[in-house]
Amino acid sequence: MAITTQIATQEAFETLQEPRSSSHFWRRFRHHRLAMVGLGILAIMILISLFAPLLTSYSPTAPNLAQTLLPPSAAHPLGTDDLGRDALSRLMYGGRISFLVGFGSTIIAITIGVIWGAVSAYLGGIYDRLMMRFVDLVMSFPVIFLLLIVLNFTGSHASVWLMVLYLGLFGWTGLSRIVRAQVLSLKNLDYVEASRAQGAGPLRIIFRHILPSAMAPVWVSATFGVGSAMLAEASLDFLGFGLQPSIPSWGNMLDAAENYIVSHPVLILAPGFAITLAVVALNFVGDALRDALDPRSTTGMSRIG
Amino acid sequence: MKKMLAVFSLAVLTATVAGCGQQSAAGSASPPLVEAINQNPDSITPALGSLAVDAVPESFMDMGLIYLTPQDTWAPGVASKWSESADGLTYTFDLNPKAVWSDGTPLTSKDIIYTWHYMTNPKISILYNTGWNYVKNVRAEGLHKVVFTLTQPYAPFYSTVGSTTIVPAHIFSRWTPNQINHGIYNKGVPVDDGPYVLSKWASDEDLVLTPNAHWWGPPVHISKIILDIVPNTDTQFNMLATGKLTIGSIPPSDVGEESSLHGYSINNTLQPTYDLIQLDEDHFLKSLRVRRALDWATPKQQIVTDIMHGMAVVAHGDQVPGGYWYDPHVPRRGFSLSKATALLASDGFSKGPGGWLEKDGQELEIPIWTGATSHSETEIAQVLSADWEKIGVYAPVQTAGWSVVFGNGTPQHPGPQVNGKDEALIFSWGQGVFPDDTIDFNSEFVPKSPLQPSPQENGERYINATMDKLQSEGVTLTTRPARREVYNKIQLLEQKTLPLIFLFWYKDASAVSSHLHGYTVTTFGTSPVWDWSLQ
Amino acid sequence: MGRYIIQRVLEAIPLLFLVTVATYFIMNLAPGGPLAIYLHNPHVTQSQLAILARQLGLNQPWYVRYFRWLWALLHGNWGYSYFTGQPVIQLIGERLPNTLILMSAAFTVALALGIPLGVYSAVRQYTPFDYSFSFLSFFLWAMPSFFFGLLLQIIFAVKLGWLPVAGMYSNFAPPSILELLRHLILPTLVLGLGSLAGWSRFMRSGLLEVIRQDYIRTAEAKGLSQRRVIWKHAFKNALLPIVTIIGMDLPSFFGGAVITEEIFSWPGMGRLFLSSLNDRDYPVQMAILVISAALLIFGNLLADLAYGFLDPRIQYR
Repeated sequence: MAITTQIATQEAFETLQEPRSSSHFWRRFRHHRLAMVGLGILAIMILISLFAPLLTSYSPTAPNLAQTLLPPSAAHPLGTDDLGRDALSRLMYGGRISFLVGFGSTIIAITIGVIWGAVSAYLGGIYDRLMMRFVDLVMSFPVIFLLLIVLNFTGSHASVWLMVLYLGLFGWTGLSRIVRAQVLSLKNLDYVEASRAQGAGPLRIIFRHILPSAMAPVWVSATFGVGSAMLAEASLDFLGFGLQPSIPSWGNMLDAAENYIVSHPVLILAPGFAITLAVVALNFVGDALRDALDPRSTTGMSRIG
Repeated sequence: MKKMLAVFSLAVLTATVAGCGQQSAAGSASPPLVEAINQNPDSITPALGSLAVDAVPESFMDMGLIYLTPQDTWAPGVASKWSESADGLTYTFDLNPKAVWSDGTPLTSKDIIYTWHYMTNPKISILYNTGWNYVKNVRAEGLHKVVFTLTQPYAPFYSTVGSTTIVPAHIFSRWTPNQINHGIYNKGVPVDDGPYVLSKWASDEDLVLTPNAHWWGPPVHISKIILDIVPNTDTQFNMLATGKLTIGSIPPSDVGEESSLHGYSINNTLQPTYDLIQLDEDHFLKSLRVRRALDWATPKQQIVTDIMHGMAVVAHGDQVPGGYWYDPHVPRRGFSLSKATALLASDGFSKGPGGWLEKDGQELEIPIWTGATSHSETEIAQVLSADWEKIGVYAPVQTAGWSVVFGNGTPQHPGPQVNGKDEALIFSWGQGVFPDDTIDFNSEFVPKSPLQPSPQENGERYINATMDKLQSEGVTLTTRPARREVYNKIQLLEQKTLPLIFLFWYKDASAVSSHLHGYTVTTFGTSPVWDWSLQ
Repeated sequence: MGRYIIQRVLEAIPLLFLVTVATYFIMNLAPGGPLAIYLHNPHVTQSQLAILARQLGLNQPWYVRYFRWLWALLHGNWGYSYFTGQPVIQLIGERLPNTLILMSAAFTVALALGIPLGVYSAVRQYTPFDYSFSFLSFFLWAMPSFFFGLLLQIIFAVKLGWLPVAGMYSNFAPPSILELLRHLILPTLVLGLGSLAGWSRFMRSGLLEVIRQDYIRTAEAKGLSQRRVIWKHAFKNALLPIVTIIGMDLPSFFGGAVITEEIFSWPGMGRLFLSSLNDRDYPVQMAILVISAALLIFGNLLADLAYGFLDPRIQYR
């Protein structure tokens, strides 16, 4: 709470003492061979899921009871699932859902978190206190509990977009604290004072002069956030509060394959390792970003569920 | 229509265990019997629980006046003799003078009369008191004889009132209805009249039953019964695989994996529980042709083979196949998309701009609802959606928690049963082996207010005067052959008018350890617990 | 230090108050509302519902109802479950200790292994150990916990037979600490490994960053042994930010507990929460929200205090 803010402020300040150029950043980032591997894996997985319709002619959703639970073969490299759908096709299409949920919800979280944090820090005083109290309040609840309750209110299973929205709406609080701390440390610096003296408006000051320098830890945190959101979506699917079962998400595939873990292990191992690989790749990138951009931030890897 | 599973089979199961005799002969060193159940019972207070799982502990703890044997006959429980008057208005029970409660108090006619007051007390939150509404009076003739007088002849009397759990008057009369509703009986050591008593209930963990020291029936041979609560089906299967369960159930998806279980035999007895599609008749679903078309477009045999993996039998009506009330001559509707398409065309539907069938500018939309936690039913919903969409019906799958599926929702988002739109709901219903289906299809049980869908169970809003008439005959005629004729007519009417689409009858699919002897399961129930022994 | 503790405790109280307001607000959005319990009862008519609504004070403004609820809450009257009719406090009381056992086991394992492994990884930077441990911790963190749990169950309980499949005690042996520990191993791993991986990773990079700083170089130049430098100087400095990380990571234990308890049949609060969702049992949901938030606030308070304890500068604020 209060301490987090204080420390982050202090660190942001220290980071500033030693400004890093973008070439410095790339040198440090590229030094991480794992990060480059991670980027490569992500690129391949995203491309496969985007071009899934070109790579497979099977439908990821239409059941075909004549062909249920076939073992892997040339026609079906990963076999078919409990409803006779090609498991590989579902896996490829499934990437779309998982990445959409991961990146989509993170974009929402960044948007809200950055605006909230920046406004809070810039306004200061009572507004700052109230806005941060609200963040403290949201962070006092386990996110997964809030998500489950809200999803349960909705009545039936969520659509993909609703899932993106909910994960985003409950994922911004940590980011807002980081941004606030950054902005606080920056807003009294000389160049900001200078532009204020030149008559720049508050919005312009925040978005033109302060935020660009304050975003480094946000990118780090957001990268971990994408993986965390993907895992949370899978957990919600497993608990029966996630996406409609016919939607080919990796979480739904895991859930449906649970009872075939002994007889048809590939059905659960494939989506299990797909999601693990994607999240590992994201975290390689996040770790490298942290080393390169913001080595002493308190941006940890934190899972929702 | 009805909530969850097998509320009715509760009465059946309760009746399966019990009898007459004396003390426990079990040694204390013998191993416990461990049975897996998938949920924490919500209550073991008589008639207050709403979960099917409540019947499991109650089957070891409670003994009704009479109980149904696995051979479909009534056997003496607390009553040693019973008879009914020719007009079907009086039932007389002679109580076994040896019958005592587990605290040693004698069980007498006072308890039976108290049970009547209990079951009809509006202050106690009793969900189902089927049958008791026909009881005009219960009279004691001495300590060991009771006479029930009914307001009208009521044929299912034995299966509802006669086999009900008896409430211990000396325990319950100490409490207020509020205390009873808040579960005071569940805590401590409940006093019961069956072969076992509950010695420990660790919520969400297990229930431990030990022999009733005052048990007056045949001696039992198992010194401890543990009902282990295992919510995840895969976990339950893994426990079977390590041999840690005596009895466990196998989900249909794991039926192919039973070879990995050693020392178990798999039961596949037909159960008196069926899966169905409830068609909420609000708009287009009121049309008989639409309902028939949907029945033609439902691949029942494929569902049984490929989703239930053979652990089910296609259903064509609501009487257990092979049972006394079942009519094998009712004509059947197979699976034919072309017949379904033709029927819809003859009803005036044509393809609209959205790609779906429509009539008078309105799309034929029937969302398919089921519980998110039921793996096989979510599979069925997806298959059904695909086939219904092939005939031009827009049928999106909607899964949610069961309480959402059956619940009211909000005025803005009413639940599927009360929203005034065509909806299809897939769930299972355990009516038991008894033929009475009044609350399902009688127009009297159509929900009267959207606020109260339960337990006014005709959620499909099926209204048919012939059905109403036949059903009142079914419960008032007193001879079995005469009743059978009525239920055969009802089955024919069901086939013709489709109050709902019958999918399949479940098979038991439980794994039973080879160490357990004397445990037999038939459609009518399980052998009494005093017949069981562990090697 | 004393003033600092008091200040932190005083800050937690209004937050706890806000938590109750927020919980009350959220649950008032719930479909069905407080009368849902009676809708199952065939004996209750519409007009009786109206009377009940008045008795429950539903016609009063929300803040009046809120304070009545809060007042009852503070007096230990947590209401009755809509679904089972039983007192909520009893339903939770039976399960909360089990959840706390599981969570503290996972927390202890994550802390006791994560910190030393992170330090070791930093000290042995760019060695095979560092690489393989880094890779492993990323991998563990990235596995969906139910998937990881099912795999562990199949491998260690079914195939190898070393550990029990599920449950809290054995059905075949008298309950003992040893039995409890045996049953704790797999769920603890599933619940704790994610945090272990995250914390050790953070410890490693934190320590590396501290080691690069001037005063550490000075200490080394003064001829202090590497071990002494690491443990005496660098470690304590690197611990500070990780305390914050741990505080922020606490909610993940709740999310993990829901899934872990489901898979390992652990009789805890996570499963009660799941079934209360499925039953739309709002009083139970409300109570669990309040309790888990209170636990989180308490955990963060402890983290703040630990921070104050570790950081000498705190005294001067």
